[in-house]
Amino acid sequence: MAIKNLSKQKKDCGRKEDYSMPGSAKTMEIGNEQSEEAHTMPGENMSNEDISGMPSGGMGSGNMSGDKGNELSSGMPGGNMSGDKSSMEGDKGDEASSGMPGGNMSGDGDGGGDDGGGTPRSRSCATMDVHRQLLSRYPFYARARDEIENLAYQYAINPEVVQRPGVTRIPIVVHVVWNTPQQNISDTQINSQIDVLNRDFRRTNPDVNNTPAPFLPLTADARIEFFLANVDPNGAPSTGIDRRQTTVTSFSHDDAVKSQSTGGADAWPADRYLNIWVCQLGGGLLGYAQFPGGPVTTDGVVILHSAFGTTGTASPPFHLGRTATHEIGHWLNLNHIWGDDGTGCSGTDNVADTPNQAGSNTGTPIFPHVSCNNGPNGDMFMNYMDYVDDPAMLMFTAGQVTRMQACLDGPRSLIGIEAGAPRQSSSPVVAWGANRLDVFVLGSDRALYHKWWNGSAWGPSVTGYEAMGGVCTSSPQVVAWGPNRLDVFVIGTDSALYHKWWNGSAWGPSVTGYEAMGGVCLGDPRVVSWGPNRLDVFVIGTDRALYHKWWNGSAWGPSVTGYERMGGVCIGQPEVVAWGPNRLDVFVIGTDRALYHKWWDGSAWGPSLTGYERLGGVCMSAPRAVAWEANRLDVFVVGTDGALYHKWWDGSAWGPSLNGFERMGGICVGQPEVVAWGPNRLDVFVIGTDSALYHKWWNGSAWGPSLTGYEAMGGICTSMPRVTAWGPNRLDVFVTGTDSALYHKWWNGSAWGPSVTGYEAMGGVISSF
Amino acid sequence: MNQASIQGSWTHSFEEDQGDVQVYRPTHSFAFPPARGRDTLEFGEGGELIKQVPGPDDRPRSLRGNWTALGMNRFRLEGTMDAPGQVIEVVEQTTSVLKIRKI
Repeated sequence: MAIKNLSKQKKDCGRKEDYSMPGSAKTMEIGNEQSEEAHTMPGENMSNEDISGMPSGGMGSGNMSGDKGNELSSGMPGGNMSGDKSSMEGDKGDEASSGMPGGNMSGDGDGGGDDGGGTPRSRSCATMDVHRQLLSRYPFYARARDEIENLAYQYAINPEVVQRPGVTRIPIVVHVVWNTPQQNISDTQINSQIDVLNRDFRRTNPDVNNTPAPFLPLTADARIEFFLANVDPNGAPSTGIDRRQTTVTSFSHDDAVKSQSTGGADAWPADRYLNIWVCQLGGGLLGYAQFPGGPVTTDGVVILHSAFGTTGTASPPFHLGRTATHEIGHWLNLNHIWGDDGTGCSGTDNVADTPNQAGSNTGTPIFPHVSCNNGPNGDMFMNYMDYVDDPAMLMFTAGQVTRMQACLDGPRSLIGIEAGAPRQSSSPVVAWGANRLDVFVLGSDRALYHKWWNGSAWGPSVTGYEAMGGVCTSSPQVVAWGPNRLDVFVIGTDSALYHKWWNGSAWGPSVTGYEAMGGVCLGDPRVVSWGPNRLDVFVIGTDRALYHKWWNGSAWGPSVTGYERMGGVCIGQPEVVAWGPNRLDVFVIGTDRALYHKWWDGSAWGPSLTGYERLGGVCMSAPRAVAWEANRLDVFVVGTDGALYHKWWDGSAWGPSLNGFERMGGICVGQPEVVAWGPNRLDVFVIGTDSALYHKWWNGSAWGPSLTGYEAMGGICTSMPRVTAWGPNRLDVFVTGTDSALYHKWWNGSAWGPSVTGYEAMGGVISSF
Repeated sequence: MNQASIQGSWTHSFEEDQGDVQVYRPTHSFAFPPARGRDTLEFGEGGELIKQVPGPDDRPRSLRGNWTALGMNRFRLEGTMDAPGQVIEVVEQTTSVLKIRKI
């Protein structure tokens, strides 16, 4: 039976939660009762050392027949070293959008891709006007502020706990609310403000070097970047600029500009966007902010149009974009540097590395300005959180950065692209940061080989590879739990799991060595990292049950070579995705070829340690799952008719139904690949019966080129497509060709490179990818 | 100088400060240039005082207290915990400017 959308048969779903998988025999249940958590897998060879070379052919000699020694850069044995940018043979031409050859072009499934993704909004109370009123009027705000301050304090005394070690990129929406044409500031003026933010929050503003010498060592990179949102809350393409004409000649500090009903513009969802309102403000006010923890409908910052950016209406002395830097500092929980106690010496900004200071400074003070016995260096008036003119403010301190990072890990944990974002399952391809790619393949000698894109060039060369030793029987699986960190897992010839890692400066245990992790595994391992220094590995054992092990930051659980048995009788590979910290969703195919699901909610496995939720279908491929936001899952499989099928979890229910699937057409060979480069965005790649690559996408409101149609991308592929997205609107696709070499193509936000159906040749003779 | 004369709303025109003399201008009639924040003192008829200062989020925040004339151009400003007491001396006053010194 082909998988069908069974939405009309929902009543048949019956029991929905705590299924065991068919074929999950009684003996396994007994097994479960006998030993609870730290199983070793059946047939496991217990003699492996923790750190060893990978056994070759199960000999246990520790010498790797395919080990190429320590050369960092080598061509792969038999590698095709020629051909830098050629089309793959069998290029199918330029048709940009077509049904797949052999595909059923008429089947439209049952639709149902709409999960009603509109974001409910509530109107704000227009009269709340101060922090203190919020505190008294909204008990939740007082509680939230307490929690936020507690977290900030914990970070202040223990800064290394930050969850986002890299750079967080925050999408901005600028609401230009204008009454006179002059107030309708230009895109150029808006972009000039974004540029300022990207300098000031990365400590790349040239004037940081004007910081007086005693304070210069305290200046710090906040590791935050900003970009105009390229997708609106409904998933449609956007400029990130929302222009509204208003009859209001001048706004006050009462939040009226934040609501359409009071002449302003409604906020975009504050958990995903930084809202900036730019308007005419009365009373000489330059701007105001809202601290984290407040009502979402008024969250963001408001800036006077003539204090925004560096051009257009921007006027001295507030013409360098520092008002937005200051207000976003508040939005990230920074306090005024003088401690908001008037001119007293008892207030604090809750940051240790800023001097105690009496009151605010204005204009362009002369260094040093001493107050509160803070000589000889005096006030840090050049800090962004004082009240001086734009040319006079130029730095954040390390303590302020820690406080902002605590805010990003705590009350604003969902915003921006970085740690805390959903993590995909492992693959041979990974991007640990923007404009960075690492690709792992097995050579004809079944050793592991590696190549990388560093932002400007391929290493060790376009067609060369770094030899990493071993004799592997699975495709390499790699994840990156942080910037410049890689963890690679493979199965050895003894069917045990092996691990190696890049720590930012060296490979562990060595360039060609591996850590033996035990087990007797069928097929490929699957790995996911739900947060920094955290790994969860899933394999199928010889009894076809699912097994799990994990790295908690300091040790492997249940042990280096031990596994937690998770029940089931599985066909093919498991799939795992983490939509947030301490969350795992695992998908497997059962012996009835239905899709099964289990999850870790942070404290327990659901529906039980060894139980599974049955999600229906008759699947002919392993599942591929992705999460484009917290509590959202999209799962793709190939059905018995070769078509692609899709189901999704929208936060409260499975769509189109618990056991139903959305039919997406095509006749697919092998497993589909899916990535999400941003919220409410999916890109799916499959191989057709002509071995060419095909692509379809969800843009937030519809499937392109159509529900059941595909974009033909040429090539004759001998591997499943491996795809990663290192940033918004960026895709990198890798496949192997009929010459067993690696091929690459990419989407740069506006076009496919080297062309829609062309590929960049990357050399090698690849046996598994 | 009598008590009635400083009544009204005065806003700090800090750009005009001279040493420890702070210059205030009529809140509603003087064209203040934009600023990150300004203090405002509103002296009520019956001795009530509303002091407005920039809050932690840069929005103006009102603090309530009261004022009393001490003679010799000196005034005591008192209030709640948010506006601790202080004594000011008025060094110059016209309808368009109020210059004070904190004692």
